[in-house]
Amino acid sequence: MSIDATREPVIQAIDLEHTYDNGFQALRGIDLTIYKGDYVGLIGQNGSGKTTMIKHFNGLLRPTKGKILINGADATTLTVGKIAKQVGFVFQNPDHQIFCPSVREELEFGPKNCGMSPGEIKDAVEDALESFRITEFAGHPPAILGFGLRRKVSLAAVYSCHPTVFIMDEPTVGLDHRSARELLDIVGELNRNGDTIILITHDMRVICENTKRGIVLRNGKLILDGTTREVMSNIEVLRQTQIRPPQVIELSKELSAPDVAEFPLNVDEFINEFVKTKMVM
Amino acid sequence: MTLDFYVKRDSWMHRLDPRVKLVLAVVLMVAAMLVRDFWLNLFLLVGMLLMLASAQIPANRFQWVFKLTVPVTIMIVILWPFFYHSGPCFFYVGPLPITLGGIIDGIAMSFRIISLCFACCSLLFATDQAKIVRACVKLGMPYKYGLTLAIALRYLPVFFGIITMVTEAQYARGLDIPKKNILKKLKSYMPILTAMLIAGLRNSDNMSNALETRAFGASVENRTYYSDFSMHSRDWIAIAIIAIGMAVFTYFFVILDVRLPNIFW
Amino acid sequence: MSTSIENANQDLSDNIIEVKNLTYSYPAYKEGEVAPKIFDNLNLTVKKGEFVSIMGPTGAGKTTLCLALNGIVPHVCGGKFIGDILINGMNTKEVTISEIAKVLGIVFQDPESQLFCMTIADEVAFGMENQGVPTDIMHEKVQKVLKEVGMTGRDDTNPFHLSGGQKQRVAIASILSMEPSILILDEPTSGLDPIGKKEVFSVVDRLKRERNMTILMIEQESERIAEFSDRVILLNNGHIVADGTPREIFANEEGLRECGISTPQVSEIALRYNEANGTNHRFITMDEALDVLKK
Repeated sequence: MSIDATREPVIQAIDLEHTYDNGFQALRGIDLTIYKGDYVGLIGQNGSGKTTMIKHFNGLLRPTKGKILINGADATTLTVGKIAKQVGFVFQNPDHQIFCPSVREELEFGPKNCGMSPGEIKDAVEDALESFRITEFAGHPPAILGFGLRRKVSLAAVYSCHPTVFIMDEPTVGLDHRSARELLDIVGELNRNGDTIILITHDMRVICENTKRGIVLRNGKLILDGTTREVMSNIEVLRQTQIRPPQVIELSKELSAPDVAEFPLNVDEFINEFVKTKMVM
Repeated sequence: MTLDFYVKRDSWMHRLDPRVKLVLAVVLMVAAMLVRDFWLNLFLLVGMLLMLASAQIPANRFQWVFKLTVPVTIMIVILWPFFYHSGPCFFYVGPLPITLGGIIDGIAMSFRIISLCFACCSLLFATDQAKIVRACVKLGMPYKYGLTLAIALRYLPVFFGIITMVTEAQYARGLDIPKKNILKKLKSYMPILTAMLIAGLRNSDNMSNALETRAFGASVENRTYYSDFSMHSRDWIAIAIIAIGMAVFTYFFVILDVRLPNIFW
Repeated sequence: MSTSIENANQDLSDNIIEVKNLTYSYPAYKEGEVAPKIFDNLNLTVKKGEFVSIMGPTGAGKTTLCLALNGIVPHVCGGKFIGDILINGMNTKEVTISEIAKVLGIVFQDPESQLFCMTIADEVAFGMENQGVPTDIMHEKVQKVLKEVGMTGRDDTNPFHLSGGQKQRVAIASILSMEPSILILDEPTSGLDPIGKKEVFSVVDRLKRERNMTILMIEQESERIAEFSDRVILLNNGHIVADGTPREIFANEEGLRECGISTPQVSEIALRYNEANGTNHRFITMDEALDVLKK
């Protein structure tokens, strides 16, 4: 995908390579631009380089070759702490990120590190509590809350710094369908308000039903980058990566002519496309 | 980061009963601690290296022991002459004579440190961790303690992994661990410790369910063991050699107090 | 205690699991507080050889039910336990957990914490060691079950070096080595990548076809559940809200939405198709959907 001049890039990877100390080359030349307001689904098997790439986006790893630009600035000139104010990273295991005696203090931690004034901190915390609907738990210790709530708290804790980019590593794992739905609705709200979202997940339905852009990595290379519809419809390439698109897409392929390249992403679209009512003449 | 230094080979050392290797390790450690003489220390160190070589342990698997002990070694060789004086003197540092004997003794001391490290590790290079724990249990350690030790060793790399992940998670939340301010630095380790503690507690809760499900504690007397080994003739011969070696050493260097000739001056 | 075991041998009933009027609450956090009830008069029977899937939102009591079936609730957890659970005729209140372990095994959700031995072979043998199985038989069985789960040749590997899917397969092997008649899997693929999920489900599939076991699987993957199960039970707030074949359960969109459970997309398609065309299809697999839609 060539660079779109009409949109503002927030993260750019230019010929990004990364080789670990033990000699393993995790990234083999990635060229990628994430724009403001994107809602990206990042897909790939474990070991494809997803986590390595994502860690470059918030400065936890530095390129062994190539460049990373964060809002135009070279990432190597910024400390991780500085990048954290612009790019928020929610880890897969919320227990690695939350440790304070109460939810409120947890949400204050980030803003304090960001150097906000006490007034700003208070506002940011109240806003986060409300946005994530966890106000009633403000005084509770996060450790005793259920898993779904801990996940929300970890997301809220990153949100309270008001970064403009959110990277989330498997946010729906371990959540039942309803809690996952609730979380994704909140994330969708963030995106509608202008924040950029990068979602790593193995759940193809989550990708189809929420994201606008799909990126697929395999063996450290970018093999697909396009709209979610384009990417998820590319069944052949996905199959090479051992990824199975949702049932609606597989069904659509069987029911469509061979030259059709784009398929419905959810049940509603599928019904509109393939199921004609007997009433319509 | 595990304590798993095991190199899988089929050498004489690998084939020895783990209990014999445990005894050997203890004997070597004691020897390293007792021996003062320069030549004996050198002999001990070279002997251990030859032993590892004959056990087919490649040099690149144990050269980290040298790397680890280099700073300590250099420090000892520099400082020792200040405290021990013997033989011809090279120069004075204030009132303290820096002597050849002091330097030689310092080198001998550093050999002792390295020998001690190797004595501990030699066991681990040629023996699977699981077998070491099993050997301890066979030598009389109650099974419960053996299992606890095995579980601790098993989860060591997991907990080191947690340290890394939590540190990264904290960096990602804007935490900058200060280099200069010790107090602030210690404070910034709190999240890491808390996360590790909580992970440990959750882990142990799940693990106890898993243990119960596998009938742990069903019958202490009738418990059988998958991993079993017994002493063969080669093991008894090895024990005999160790015993003779210890006897000879004690006789000559402790009882008779034989001193090796000094060729340095 | 011996009477229950004698009864077990004489019991000719087809039901291998019987939960009768189970009411349970965990011990309260503080003195004087009343802990909420996890189950209130729960009744459930499972026949020998059935493959039952249990679905439900978080907090429905699924894991507690597993722990109740193998006796950890109430022997280890305490709490207020009213009612009876019979496993192969044995009353869980009257026998030890080790006795139940001869008949029932559970594979838990977290691969890391249920593999605590230093090598895979030790892990698989652990259960047998506790039961006093002779060493040579243990060696045979270890190889047999490792082959069944596709993990042959890795006897000395430290579990730390395995992927999530491999770990869960070893966990299954370590339960299979005890030769239980009932296998319970508590969200075995939660947190695994697609390859890991595929590996675990293919082992489950194999077990279903080749072994004569009763299997209870707790899962969120409705599409897989539709493939495997003879029977699906919906649990919500400690109550069974639905119990039937996958076809019946996934046709009940109302009930599922109430529980916050997702249906397989094909079932949703079936419902919408029926709405549009006045038919009464109930697809649960893609092949069934294609058969109808291609016309």
